[in-house]
Amino acid sequence: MEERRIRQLLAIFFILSLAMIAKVVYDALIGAQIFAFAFTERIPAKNGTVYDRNGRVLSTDLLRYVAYLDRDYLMLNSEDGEREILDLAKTLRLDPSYLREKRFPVLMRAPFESSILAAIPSNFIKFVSIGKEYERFSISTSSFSVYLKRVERYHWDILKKGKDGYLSHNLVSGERKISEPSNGKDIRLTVDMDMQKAADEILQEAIVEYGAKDGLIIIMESQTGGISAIASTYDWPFAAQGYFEPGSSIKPIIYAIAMEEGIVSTSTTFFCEGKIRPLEDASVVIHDIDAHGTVTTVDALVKSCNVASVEISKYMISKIGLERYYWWLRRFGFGEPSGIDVEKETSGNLLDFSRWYDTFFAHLAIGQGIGVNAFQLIRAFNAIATNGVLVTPHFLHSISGPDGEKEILYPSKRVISESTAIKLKRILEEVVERGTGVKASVAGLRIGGKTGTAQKASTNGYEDGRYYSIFLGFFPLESPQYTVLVLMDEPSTEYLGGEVAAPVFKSVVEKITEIGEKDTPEFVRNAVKGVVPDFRGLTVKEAQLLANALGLEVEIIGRGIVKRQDIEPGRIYSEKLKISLVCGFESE
Amino acid sequence: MYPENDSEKKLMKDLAGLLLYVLLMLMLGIVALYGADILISTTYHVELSFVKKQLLWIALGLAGFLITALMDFKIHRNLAPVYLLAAVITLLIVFRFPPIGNSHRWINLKSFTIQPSEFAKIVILILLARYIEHAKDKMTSFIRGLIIPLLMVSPIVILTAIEPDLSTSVLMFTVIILLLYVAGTRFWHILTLMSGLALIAMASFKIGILKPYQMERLKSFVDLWTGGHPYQQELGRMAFATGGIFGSGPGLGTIKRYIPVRESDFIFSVFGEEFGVIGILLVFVLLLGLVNMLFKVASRYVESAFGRYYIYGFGILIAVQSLVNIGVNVGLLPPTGVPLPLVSYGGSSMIATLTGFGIAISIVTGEQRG
Repeated sequence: MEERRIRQLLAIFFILSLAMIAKVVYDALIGAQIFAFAFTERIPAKNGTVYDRNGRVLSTDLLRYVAYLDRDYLMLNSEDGEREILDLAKTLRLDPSYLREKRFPVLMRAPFESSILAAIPSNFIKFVSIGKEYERFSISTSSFSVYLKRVERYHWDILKKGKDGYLSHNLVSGERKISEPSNGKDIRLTVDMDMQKAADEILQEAIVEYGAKDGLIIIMESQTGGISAIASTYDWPFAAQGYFEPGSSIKPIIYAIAMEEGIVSTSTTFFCEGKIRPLEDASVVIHDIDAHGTVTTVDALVKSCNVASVEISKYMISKIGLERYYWWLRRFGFGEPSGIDVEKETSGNLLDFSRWYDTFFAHLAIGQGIGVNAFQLIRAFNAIATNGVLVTPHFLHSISGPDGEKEILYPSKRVISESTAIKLKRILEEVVERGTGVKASVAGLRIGGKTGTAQKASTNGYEDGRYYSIFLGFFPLESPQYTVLVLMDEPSTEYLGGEVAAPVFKSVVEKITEIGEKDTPEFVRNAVKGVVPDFRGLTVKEAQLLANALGLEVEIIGRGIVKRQDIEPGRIYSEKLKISLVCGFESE
Repeated sequence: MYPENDSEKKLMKDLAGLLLYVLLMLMLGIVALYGADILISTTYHVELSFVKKQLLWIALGLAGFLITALMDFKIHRNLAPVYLLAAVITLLIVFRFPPIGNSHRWINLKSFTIQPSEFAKIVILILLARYIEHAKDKMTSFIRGLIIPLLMVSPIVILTAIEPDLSTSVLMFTVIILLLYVAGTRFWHILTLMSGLALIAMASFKIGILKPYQMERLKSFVDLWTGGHPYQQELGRMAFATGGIFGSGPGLGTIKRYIPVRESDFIFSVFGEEFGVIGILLVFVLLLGLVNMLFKVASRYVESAFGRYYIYGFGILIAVQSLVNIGVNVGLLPPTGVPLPLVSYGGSSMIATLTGFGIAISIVTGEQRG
């Protein structure tokens, strides 16, 4: 037995030795490597910053100092720790039980270390450790903050910070180790806070002027789909998460489909007696504001004639069928999210063609029975401004990375032919010149637009006297820069889109051009439309800006500063013109 | 089993091995102390004070070793009551001297100090070996196999505890229990006693009999497992980290300058920094080799129960004390002031260990002679 027990002891000693060897090996190789760096300071990782188009900060992580109490150390090193903790809690107006509960309770947070040192009684300082942390701050003075929050959340994967870094100092060897924190990436939005501020002001005034409940203004870059401003009085992202009936503002889309399918031409005529019964055997009657008499397609849209629109819709059903009609609406992006980078965008409400009731086509023709969100609507309408291309509305312009900013490319697709779009553009210009949208016209600027008035629907049918007053427009007509949606919710003084939303649109356009002019450099202001300018000496960026302003297409060859242009300055042009610019650097 | 001269040869070989292990340990200790020393010598121009003094201690220790090794071991058996008396008296004398660091552990003789508890450890082994020889057949009894031997050595353990030197008394207690276990004391008897003592300890902890610094040490041990880092052990771990696999080289350690009592309690960390994992493996090879050899020699060549149990006890003492010391160094045990036998700086420990070793040798050779 004695021998067996001795062997047991030997085995135990051996196992304990192995455990200790394992511990040493662990410390030598892994465990104590960081540990050997006695003074380690954490460098907190930072979430990405959100900038506006011009580099102004919209949302960012700000450094704050946090003071922690080492409670046990205090208790161990003071005569009456319990009483001291009560004193400290009283001085800092904290709950004493909180200080007692936690090992390292947070005493306070402040933007400066000095404010912490000033606030904490000096005899406690030695028990306090001050750390750093980031807190997120976002602009709150603009109505954009409602969307900013959701845009940020949509792109949180980009903005999100990774692991904290640390700076450590080995007190023996003096060696320093730095591990960079993995910060989130910064992003730049398409929103221009100057325009946003202007839109906010205009909307506020309009709400008061028309006694509206709420309102929404979206300003979108026509060619890219980038949202330059979104003013809204809703406390939720109505433009992305809410939907409404577009009313007459859908008519340009219905006309576009009909023209594209060859069902109507600009010279087709309709007779409007002020009302129409879409189906002989149904009781539904669609009314018009006036009896327009005999009207051409152009006049019908200019005057927003309901009868003509219902008839066009009816032809469409018989000529192309429900399925293809539905396919067209889907092609314009209805019934699916517009792709706007706001969290939880709605698809709106577009009934599948199999569920279209017999007079659905008539309601559809005047923008009823279909629910659209504001981004879907402005996107579909914008396809006319872009000569037939459907863009993706978006807020995210670019992401910063280690090798500079990377601009995001968004999908776009052609939905109607250029010729149809151009024809419609001309009609939409007439809407503003002489039709329902005259109150949107701005002297010296060619604008295309469409009004819409939609009675608000609830589960009990349409509600009397409660309307959405809508205006959609783009400018300048030849190569539109901005497409704007104005929606006034339950205006009380007037209700027609042409009366309420159109004047608001006008204010927006005036304000944008004002801002644009202020920002326009001299070489652009001095250029004359229809005359080829002198590009030489400009940078590539400046040359592109000038070309855009004059509606010229340029081809850039090389990099640096423009050295030669293939068409001489001073030449008069009227048609589309493409100019090749050869660039180089001074030394070359 | 073996022809007479063959077994004789084998014994000589084993004895030589035993001596070799001890010599290697002593050399390793000098090398380690050189590391602990060289810092002081360069900073304060004091020349290898630890190494020089340790060499003196080793010389005195070897003198003690020679005396006991050449003596008849049976003398110790007969003198056991006298040794007990001497141990108790010296452990009482320490209270006449002013405390060092709140503790009465040393007898100060001006030019050097003696730590009686180091010698008392050997006395305990002699007492137990003698008792077991007498009571070999009654070890399975709770009273005669556990309580009586414990009571017999309890004056030493208790006096050590109230010096206060709790870690040494716990160490003594552990060695006693393990030796009794080898001698045949029932496992569940030990278990019963331990749980009883644990209950008493918990109760005294509750009513606060433990000294503040003992509470502190216990707390620091608890903290070790809950995230806190006792300063000394933190530095020990740092030393291993800087040492890595191959160490930073003899005398070239840097963390060591921050390690308190680096020449004794934390000599292992100093050695670890300078010789790395390789050096530490060597320490374990020597330690386990020595203990294994002691056990082997005892069971193979020693007929008398007294002799066998003395050597078992000596092996257990070396093993437990070393593992406790190393456990503290690597941060697996709470910080306690237990030296590493044959390696750590310290006269009493060195002389007592070598003298004790001499008794073991005298047992083996004496058995063969007689």
